[in-house]
Amino acid sequence: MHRASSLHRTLVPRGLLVTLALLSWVLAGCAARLSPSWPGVDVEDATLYLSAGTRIVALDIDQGQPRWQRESENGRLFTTPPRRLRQPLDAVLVGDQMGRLYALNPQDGQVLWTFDAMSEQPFVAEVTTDGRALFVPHSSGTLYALDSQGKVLWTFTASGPLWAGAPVLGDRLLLPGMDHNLYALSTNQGRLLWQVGLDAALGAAPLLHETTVFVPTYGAGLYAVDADTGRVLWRALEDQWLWHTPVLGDGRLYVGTLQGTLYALDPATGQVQWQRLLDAPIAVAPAWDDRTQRLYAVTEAGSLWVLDGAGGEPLNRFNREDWEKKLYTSPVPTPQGVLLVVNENPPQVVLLEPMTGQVQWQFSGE
Amino acid sequence: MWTKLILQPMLNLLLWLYAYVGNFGLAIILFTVLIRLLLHPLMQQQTKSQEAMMRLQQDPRWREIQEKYKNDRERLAQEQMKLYRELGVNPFGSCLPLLLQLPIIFGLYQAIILALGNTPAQLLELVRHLYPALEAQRLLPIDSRFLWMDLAQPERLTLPFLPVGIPVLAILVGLTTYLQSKLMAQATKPKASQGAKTASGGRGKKKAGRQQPDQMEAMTRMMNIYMPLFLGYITMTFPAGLGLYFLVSNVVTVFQYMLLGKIPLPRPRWLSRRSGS
Repeated sequence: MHRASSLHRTLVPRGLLVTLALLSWVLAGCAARLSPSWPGVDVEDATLYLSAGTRIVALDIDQGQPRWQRESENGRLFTTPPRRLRQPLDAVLVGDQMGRLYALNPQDGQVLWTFDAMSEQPFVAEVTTDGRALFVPHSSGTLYALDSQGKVLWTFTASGPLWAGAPVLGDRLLLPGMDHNLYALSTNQGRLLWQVGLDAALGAAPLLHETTVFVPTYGAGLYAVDADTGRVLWRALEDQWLWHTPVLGDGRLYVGTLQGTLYALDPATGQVQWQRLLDAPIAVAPAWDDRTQRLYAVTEAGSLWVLDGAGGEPLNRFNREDWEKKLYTSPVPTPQGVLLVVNENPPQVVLLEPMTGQVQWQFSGE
Repeated sequence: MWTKLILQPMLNLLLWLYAYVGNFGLAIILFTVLIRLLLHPLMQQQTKSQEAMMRLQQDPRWREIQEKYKNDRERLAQEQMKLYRELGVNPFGSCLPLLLQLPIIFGLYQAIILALGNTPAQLLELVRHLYPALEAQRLLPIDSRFLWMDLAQPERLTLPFLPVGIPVLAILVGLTTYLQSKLMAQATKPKASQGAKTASGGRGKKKAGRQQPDQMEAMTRMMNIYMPLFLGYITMTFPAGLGLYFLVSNVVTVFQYMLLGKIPLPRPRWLSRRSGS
């Protein structure tokens, strides 16, 4: 007990200091664990543009060789998918975690210009365009319309963060908000044409098809909204969490849920045509391959599912345990196989033959 | 186990409070008050232990056995153990509430980081931890603004005429931590001295137990300096929501001590006059 007493006197001050040091270390560790974004891709011709962590890469799909790659400034993380545009400028556009948008030369990755949102919040949504202006939603809640030099044409402020890209239909822009609203704005001045309040946050970009916009929500399913009037046409999968843009293929609308089910819906009515429970939550959009009439979906379990688009029959499933919780980018079907991005540091890109699982090439970012 | 037992209950409680009051800052304040109330019995225990330790070290018998058995450590330990038993003192009793605070701080920090994620990747982490009964689709996204602060970011008050932001919350946390420590030290000191006087039966023998209280005082002084600086630093560098927890926790603790009668409640002047007459 004497020991206990002297131990108490010795340990309390030392223990206190150790505890304080440990506390700050653990707190710092907790903060570092949450990555703000997943790798994003865009494909044009035979080039895949990949933004992941602090790096953006242009990759030759045929060879699996980088055409160019560049690191971000000051170790900032890229937080939007890259977007390869021809109009209104020939560039790759990508945003970062500190609210800076970069226009890069698609030939060599050199910075053409940058735009600062003057806020330390990240750009999350991908850039869209009508061919004349760039539409850049920012997580502070402001949508910026920029010209080809990155100068502000007009802005629109929503009542909540903006995390998803705004597709363009003719002279109108359909802007999904985390404030549960879908806004229709005129593309030339940003005038509000209509807005409709839905039952949950809109964190993934809607899909436009003719004059219908399909709007996925965080926890309230999928809405079909008339793009002219804002009228809700139908609502499906009412209590489902949808983290991605729906995909159209062969007259069906495909959407996966965090509950792990992949659905094929009738775009006219929202009726379920088939559904298939996969092995884990589906956080990113499946990919439709028109050439083979197959649907590719990745799950959090690290699986690539190959399904028959018409009936949802699984044709193959390729799973790697070391990819668990690392497939957060939509698969990209190509004539040579399916491109998968593995969320590693540095990121990996794999070209896989989907029926045999044979790896044709692998780019490990080195 | 950490996730199921600590993180998820805390996160869901925090979001339930947010659903109720509609403001994340108020939810953190209510959450802190609830936690302090839950820890109240332990705090009482801690106060008793601190007082008992002070009394013990001012007890002449303690000094006597230190002198008598200074060359026989084994015997000394036995005698001290007897005295501990006799006076009902647990030398580690005052550490337990401090240790119990640690999982709460870690859990709250993780809960704030998860709840205030500002990208889809971060929000997906949050959704995995929510109880279905919460109906989170109506709550998300969480509004992180409170007064001038963004609770997801380290706090700075920016004024138009100053080139840099002022870490107001960190200063408040540092000040209240210092104030709290001072009040706590004062709260335990007089009673302990009183106890020692009674036990020793007069001033003459008081010197015998002097050395160890000095050590204790030095330790307390060190705590009084380190803790405010450390918590101020944490508040300055981590999301403001955590700093808000520290601030409210300090204020509530002072009130708890007042309620326990350890700190004299300020009496209105008219009441003092009346009792004087």
